[in-house]
Amino acid sequence: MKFEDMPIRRKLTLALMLTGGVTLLAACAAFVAVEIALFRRSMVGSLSMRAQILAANSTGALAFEDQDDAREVLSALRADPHVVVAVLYDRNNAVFATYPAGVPPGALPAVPERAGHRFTRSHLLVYQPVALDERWLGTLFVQTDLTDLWDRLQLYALITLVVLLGALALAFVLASRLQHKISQPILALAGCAQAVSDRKDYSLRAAAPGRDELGRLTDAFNSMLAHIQDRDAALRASEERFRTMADTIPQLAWIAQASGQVSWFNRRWLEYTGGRPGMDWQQALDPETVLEVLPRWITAIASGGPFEMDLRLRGVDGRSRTFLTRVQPLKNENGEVVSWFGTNTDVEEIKQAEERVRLLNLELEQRVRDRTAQLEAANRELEAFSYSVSHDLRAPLRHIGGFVNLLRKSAEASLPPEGRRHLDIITDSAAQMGRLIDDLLVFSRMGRTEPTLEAVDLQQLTQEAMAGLAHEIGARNVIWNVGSLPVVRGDRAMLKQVFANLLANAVKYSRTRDPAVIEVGSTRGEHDEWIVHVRDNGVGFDMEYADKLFGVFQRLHTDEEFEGTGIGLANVRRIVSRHGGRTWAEGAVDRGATFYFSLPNPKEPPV
Amino acid sequence: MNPLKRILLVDDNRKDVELTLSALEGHNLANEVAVVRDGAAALDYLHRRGTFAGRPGGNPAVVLLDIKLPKLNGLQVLERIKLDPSLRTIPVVMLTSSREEPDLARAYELGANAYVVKPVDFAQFVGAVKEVGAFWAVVNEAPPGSSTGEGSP
Repeated sequence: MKFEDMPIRRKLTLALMLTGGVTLLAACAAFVAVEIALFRRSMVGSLSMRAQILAANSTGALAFEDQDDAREVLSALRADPHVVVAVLYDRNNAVFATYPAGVPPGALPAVPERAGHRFTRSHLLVYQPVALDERWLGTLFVQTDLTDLWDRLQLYALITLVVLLGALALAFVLASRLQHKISQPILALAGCAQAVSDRKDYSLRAAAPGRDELGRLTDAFNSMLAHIQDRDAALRASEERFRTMADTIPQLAWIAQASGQVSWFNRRWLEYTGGRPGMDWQQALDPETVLEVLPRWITAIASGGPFEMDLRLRGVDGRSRTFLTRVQPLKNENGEVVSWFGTNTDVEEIKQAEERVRLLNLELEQRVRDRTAQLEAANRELEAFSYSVSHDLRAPLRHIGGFVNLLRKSAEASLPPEGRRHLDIITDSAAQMGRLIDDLLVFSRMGRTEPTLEAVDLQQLTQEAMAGLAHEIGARNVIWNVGSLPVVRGDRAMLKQVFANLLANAVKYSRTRDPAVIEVGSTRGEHDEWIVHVRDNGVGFDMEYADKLFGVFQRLHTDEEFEGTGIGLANVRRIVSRHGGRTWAEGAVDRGATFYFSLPNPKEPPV
Repeated sequence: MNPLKRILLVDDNRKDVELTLSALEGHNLANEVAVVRDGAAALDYLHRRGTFAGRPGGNPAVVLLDIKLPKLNGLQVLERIKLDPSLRTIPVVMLTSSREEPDLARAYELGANAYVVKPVDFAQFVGAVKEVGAFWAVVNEAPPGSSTGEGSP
C-alpha cells in the first residue's frame, strides 16, 4: 500500500516509530563508534607497550647476535593467543628471529616498515625499533589478530538490536496511544462527512475535540453543514411551492432531462392522459400528429432552442384536443441544457372558436360579395335607367318645345292672345321638366360615382362658383365677404357642385336685398374637421322646416316666389356625406340663412 | 344625279331630324343635309355601298351623329369612322340627348371632334345646331376629299 493511501492512524504510528527508531539508531551508532575507537586505541597501547618491553629484552640478543636468546625472548609472546607472528630484524633488516620459530620467510614482511602501528583488515601490525644507549640494533615486528575487536563489535550489535527492538516496541505502544489523540477527530470528521454524503442528511454534526486547528476545521465543517441544511430546506420549500403551483395550474406541465426523457409530470397531465409518472410525453401524442411533432422535438433537443407548436394530445377518454405546447430549455452557466420545462395549454376551444370565426368570416365575405354583386347589379340597372331617362325622357320634351316653336312661327299671327299664352305655358313646362330631369340625373350620378380624392383648394372653388353666377347677379348689388378657406382632400367636380349650389341659393334668396351680403368662411370643428359656412342676408326660412331643406323635391317657396327644382341642397347633402361630412342649416324668416357643411381632417380620410 | 351633301345627319328620331333641319334652315344649310336613320346606313352612306352605291363621290364636310341609334349605335359608328383611313379625317360632331359623362368621355376617347347635348329648350337647340352646322360645314376648312359645297352662300 502506498503511503498516501494508508489510513491516517497507521501513517501517524509509522511516522512516530520511524522518528524514534532513527534517533535511537543514530545514538547507538555513535556510541558503538566511540567504543570501537577507544578499544582500538587501548589495543595499540597495550601491544606497543609489550613490543617496547620485548625490544628492551632483545637488545642483548641482538648485540651479541644470539639467535637462541632472541627466540627465547620472543617466545614470551606465547602467553597472548592473539599474537599471530613476531619477527626480530637485525641492523641490516634481515630476519634474525621469528615467533613461532620456523615461520617460512615468505609469510613475513621482507623488510621492516617505519616504526609505528597499522591496522589491516584483520590484523594490527606494530614496528618497534630496538636500540641500546641511542644505538640502533634492529626492529621488532609484532602482528596480532583482531578477534577481540570483532567479538566486542558483535556484542555491541547485539545490545543495540535488543535496545532498538525494545525501544521500538515501546514507541509503538506510545505512538498508538498518541496518534489516537490526533487521528480520532479527523476520523470522526471523515466519518461524519461520509455519513452526510451517503444519507444526504445535512442535520448531522461532527463533534469538536478542542480549540486546535482540527477543532476549527470541525467548526467550519459544521457551519458549512448548517448552511447547506438551510439551503436544502429553502430548496425543498421552493420545490414544494413549485410542485404545488405546477399541480394547481390548469395547464399540463412536465420536466424532462437534457436528453428529452421526462422526469416529472404534474397532476393535470396524469389526470388528462391517464398515464403513469414513468411515461414519455410523446406517448400522449395523437398518433396522426406524431410524425409532424417528433422531428421538430428532436431538432429542438439537438439545438437546445425553445420548442413551441400546437399539437394534439389524446386524453384518457381516447379523444384528442389541441394544446399549445411550449418547452423551454433550462441551461447551466455554461449554456448547456440541463433540463426542459414543458407546458401544454388546452386551446381546443380557442381553436374551435377560431375555426367558427374563420367560417363566419368566409360566410360574411361571401355575403359581402353577394351583396356587392347585387349592389353592382342594381347600380348597373340604375345607370341604364338614368341613361334611358337621359335620352328618352328628354327627347319628347325637346319635341314639345321645338314643335310649339315651329307652330308659333307658322301660326302665331292667327292665334288669339289666350292661345299664345297657352303656347308659352307649354314651352315653360317643357323647359321646367327638362331642368328637373337634368337635376335628377345629376343627383343620381352623385350617388353612383365614386369620389376621386385629390387636394382641392376651396378658395379657388369659391372664386369659380362666384364667377359662374355673374350672369345671374347681373346689375344687382351683392357684397361678397369671403374668408380664408382651406385646401382639403375631396372630389373636385363634386365639391365644385356644392359651392355652385350653395352660392347660387345665397344669391337667389337674397334677391330682394340691397345690398345683398353673402359671407363664405371656415372654422375648425371637433377632430380637426373643417366646417365651411355660406351665410346670406336673404329671406331666410323657418327653423321648423330646417330638416326639409335637404330633401329631394322639398321646397319652402313657391315657384313664383323663387324658381327651383328642389334638388340642389339634396345634392349638396349627398356629396358632403359621400366625403364623410355633415350638412345643416340655421336661419329665421326674413333674417337670412346660414348653410354649413363639414369635411373630415385629411388624417382621417373619407371612405 | 344628286349633288354631294355637305352634312350627314345620323338620327333615328324623325322629329329630331325635322327640328334639326328647321334649325339649319337659318343658315340655308337644310338642303346640304343627307339624313340616314341608323348606324349601319351611316356607314353604308360613307362607304357608298348598298342603297348609297350611286351617291356622288367624296366625303361630307361634317357628320352629325346621334348616340342612341338602331343597329350600330353612334359610338360604334364613330369608332369605325376614326379607324378607317379614308374616313377618319371627317369631323364628327356627337349630337345627342345624353348628358351622361361616360358617353362624353368615350366619344372624345374615340376621336369625336365635338360633343353637343341637344337642349330641351328649342331656342337653345336651334342655337346649338346652327353653330355646329355653320362651324363645321361652312367656316371650318374641310379636309381634302370633302365636298366642295355647291349652292353654299
